[in-house]
Amino acid sequence: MPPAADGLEVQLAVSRGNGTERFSLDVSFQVPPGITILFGPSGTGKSTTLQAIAGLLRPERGRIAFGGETWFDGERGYERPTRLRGIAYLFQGLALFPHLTAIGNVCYGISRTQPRADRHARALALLDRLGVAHLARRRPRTYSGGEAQRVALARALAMEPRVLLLDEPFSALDRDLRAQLSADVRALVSERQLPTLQVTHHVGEARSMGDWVLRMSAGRIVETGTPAILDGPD
Amino acid sequence: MTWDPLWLSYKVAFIATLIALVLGVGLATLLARPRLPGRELIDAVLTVPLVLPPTVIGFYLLTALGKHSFLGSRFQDIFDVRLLFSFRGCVIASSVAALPMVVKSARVAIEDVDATLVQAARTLGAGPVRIFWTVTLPLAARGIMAGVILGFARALGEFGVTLMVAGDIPGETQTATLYIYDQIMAEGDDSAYGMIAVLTVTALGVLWAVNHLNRRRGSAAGR
Repeated sequence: MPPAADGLEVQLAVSRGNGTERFSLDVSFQVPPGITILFGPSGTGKSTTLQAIAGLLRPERGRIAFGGETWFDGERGYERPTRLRGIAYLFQGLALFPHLTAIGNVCYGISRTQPRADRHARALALLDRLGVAHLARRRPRTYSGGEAQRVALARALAMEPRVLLLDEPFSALDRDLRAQLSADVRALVSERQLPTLQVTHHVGEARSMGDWVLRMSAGRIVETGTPAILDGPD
Repeated sequence: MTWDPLWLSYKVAFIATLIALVLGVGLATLLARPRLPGRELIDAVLTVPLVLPPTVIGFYLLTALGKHSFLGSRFQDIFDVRLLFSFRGCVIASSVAALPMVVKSARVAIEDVDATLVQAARTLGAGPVRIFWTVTLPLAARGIMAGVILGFARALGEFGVTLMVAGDIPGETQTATLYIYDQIMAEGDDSAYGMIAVLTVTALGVLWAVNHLNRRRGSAAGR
């Protein structure tokens, strides 16, 4: 894997629980522009890793940095607030705001220094790009699974993120939708040269989406390489 | 026959509910923070007026805010008006009655807001204040409203504490509940019956509104 000059450097340890329920996570990796897959069975610490990168959870030790900017430094006890990290996070449950329309959801992340009309126009353009402009004035309750996913993706990208985190982004979708959306995500990521970390436990998704794969097991990264490491008898 | 006591009751209940709304939502926001030290103790102190006898609450308020108390005498020095045995006394008594209803409902409503929505707002660049106004408050609004309406009903029905800290001064602190009591005890004229009817209708309306809000809240819990 190439060094991440304009990417994300992650080194973190988290441990929780006690006795039989003990959980420990200790990983170190880089996320260059393009899609890096965090692959492994559920309960192995993939989502916890994403949360720590986003600053939604504080690791016990480690260091997280983006480019020259430190996001977390366990030794100095420094933690950059989530809102200043510029992270687009596609949550597993999507976390669309139920009380806002698609436009409202997408505009939420766009800097409010821009005039309202500009923000609306940009939100609408992104919704259109993802094929869901017809939902602009509707609220999430009325969306289908694929539509909700697209609105959430539009919202994530509207803020012009520096890093994209995807937590099992397609798990609720059927195969056709999954194929369509993964193609869209790949295109959006590559045109922005966006360092992207995608969590999945789905081999097919890891193979078709990933530029790089980090295979995790029991809180450790056990193998790294191209998606070819997932080929084989399993 | 006079409707003044009823008018006074609504005025007192309205102001008391506003006070309870602002204080109650603020306190509930604090109480909803899992890492707030001593939060169950604070919750208990705020809720105890629901179960304390009104005369006991009245005693505490007289002790804390009376003419010779620290707070009461300061207030009188600064504003040159008395805090108790006046319209303000009625408002204080009713606020104390309404506050626990608002705090309880608001805390549950705020804690019910999906934590991932708050996290999503943080990743989208929102700070705590913006998150409160744009995510937490709108999503908790229904539950808060239910508490506010119940609080209004409690404020309107306040009797014992009002009697102790505001007295029963006709034209000044004689609210509808006190007036009804006086009229019935004195076997006075029939003018209390009108107020009894209006208060009954208000109570039924409150129940209807709260049930309506709770039902809508259940069905609105979508994605």
